[in-house]
Amino acid sequence: MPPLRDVRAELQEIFRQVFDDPTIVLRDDMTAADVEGWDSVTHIDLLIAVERAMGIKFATAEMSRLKGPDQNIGSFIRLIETKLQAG
Amino acid sequence: MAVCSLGFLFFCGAAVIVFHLAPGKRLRQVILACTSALFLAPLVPNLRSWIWFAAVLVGTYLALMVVRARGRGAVVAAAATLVLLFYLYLKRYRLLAEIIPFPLAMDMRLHPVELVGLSYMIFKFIHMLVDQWQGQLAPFNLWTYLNYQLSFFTITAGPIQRYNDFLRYWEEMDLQPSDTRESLLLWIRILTGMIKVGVLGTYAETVFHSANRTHVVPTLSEALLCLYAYPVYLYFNFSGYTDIVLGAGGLLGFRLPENFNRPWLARNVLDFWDRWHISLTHWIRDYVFMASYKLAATKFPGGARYWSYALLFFALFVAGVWHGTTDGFIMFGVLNGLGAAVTRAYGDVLRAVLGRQRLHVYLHSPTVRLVAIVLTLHYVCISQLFFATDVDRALAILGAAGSELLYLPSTLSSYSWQGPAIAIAIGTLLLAALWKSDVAGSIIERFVLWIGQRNGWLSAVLCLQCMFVAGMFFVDWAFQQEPPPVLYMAF
Repeated sequence: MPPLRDVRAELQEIFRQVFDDPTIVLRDDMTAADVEGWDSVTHIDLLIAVERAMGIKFATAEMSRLKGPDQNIGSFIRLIETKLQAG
Repeated sequence: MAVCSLGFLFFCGAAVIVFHLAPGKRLRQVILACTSALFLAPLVPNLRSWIWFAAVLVGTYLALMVVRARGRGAVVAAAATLVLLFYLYLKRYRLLAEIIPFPLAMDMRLHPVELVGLSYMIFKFIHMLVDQWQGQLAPFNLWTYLNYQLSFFTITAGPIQRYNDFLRYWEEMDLQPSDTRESLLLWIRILTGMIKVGVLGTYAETVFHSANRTHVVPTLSEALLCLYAYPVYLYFNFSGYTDIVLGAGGLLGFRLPENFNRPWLARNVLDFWDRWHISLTHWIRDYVFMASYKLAATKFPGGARYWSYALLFFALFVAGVWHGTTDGFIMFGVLNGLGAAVTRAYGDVLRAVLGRQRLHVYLHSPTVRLVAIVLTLHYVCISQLFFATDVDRALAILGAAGSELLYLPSTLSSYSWQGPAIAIAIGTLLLAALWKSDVAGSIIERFVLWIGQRNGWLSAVLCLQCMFVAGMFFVDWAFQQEPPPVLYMAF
């Protein structure tokens, strides 16, 4: 059985690299408004980095949904975990 | 049927009463379909247009079926390309019509074909096509597809609702009707929209046309009126339309996406487009920018930053030229694309020069925010001047304003004191309002919330609005004026 991945820790590291901010600490209720510089361009940079690091693919509708006002880090992590489980 | 008319108000009222009296989901769906058909019928001018309308709907539905059955990217690309070419040709983009050697009999410029809402139908179709290919689309059939495409509150000028959202409300039609408070708020929104379109927008348009006397070199005051009046008209006309259809949709159980979020407080061009015609901007962001930038940044990670500038320019240029085919719209697209790319590049430079902490201080400075808002406001007004007129006329207006402003100090003595004094007073008040816009916005929001929680106050507001709108329609009737059109229905 493969070891469980700590998605939150991996994602936090990716956030720190993409936003060039080593002080970022992810919380479930954080949204794009809480991370300075999280615009449409960095959103794609972030998703490309997540795809590369975790070996998953995001569809256009998923990328768009993650930018929605009702989305936060918690829903981002849940989407990644669902994709990882689906293989 | 014009949305800002007494006829639409009665049409909406009748639809809501019949809808809520009908028991069960299926019957309500049929009523909504009939309502959309009744709304659409007078907007299709002739048999040839009906045939093309049917051909577009059947053709796009068949393409969706093929993608669902085969799921191949090549089919998606071919279908999207064909539909776009058809759109460009039908919208009379002259360049394309001259390049493609269609026989005269097939040249649609020679036939009176008018497809209402074609742009919005194509936006919805491409979104469904891509999402179906990527396995993200909820189940669809011909019935749900037709109702999604033709629903009367989105067909003429949006907002661009996503299919999965539409289907959720479509399947929830047997839920209880909204409570009294919500119904009052939705009717208030419809009437607010009518006042915006019928009074405020119409007045701003009149000011613009009286100042924009073609073949005459404008004075400074005329040039400034042209510069500011047209964006005011555009905002009230389109946001008023949006209020009307969002209210109408809400009364039938559909929550539609918002299209405006205080656009005049944007601090750069990208921010502006995130607040203006939001459903279109988000569509372009998702299906033009995100798709192309992801491809470019994956293939060429070293040059991702430069690709982002180029593709932002392209995305906003597309948003601009979608509005029309003349040189003015092309210039409008170029200015918006340029504004977006420069905004992004400026942000990158600031980040590199200032570093994270000083950038944070810079971005949160009230002075920087005020300057950014004022600059963006004027940049947007200038770009919309090209939208309103053609390139030559817009340049003439800007040139006249620029040269008069340059020599203003030396010619000030020849002006009477009232004009400049009033202009300075209005400018100072606007700047003060912008400076404290957060406080002002918060006070207004709290006041609206306070009223919104009291049905008695809401009823009073609605009664006042009814009297005002009745007066507005009476004046239109007395002076035999047509209901004001919604400009975005032409796009």
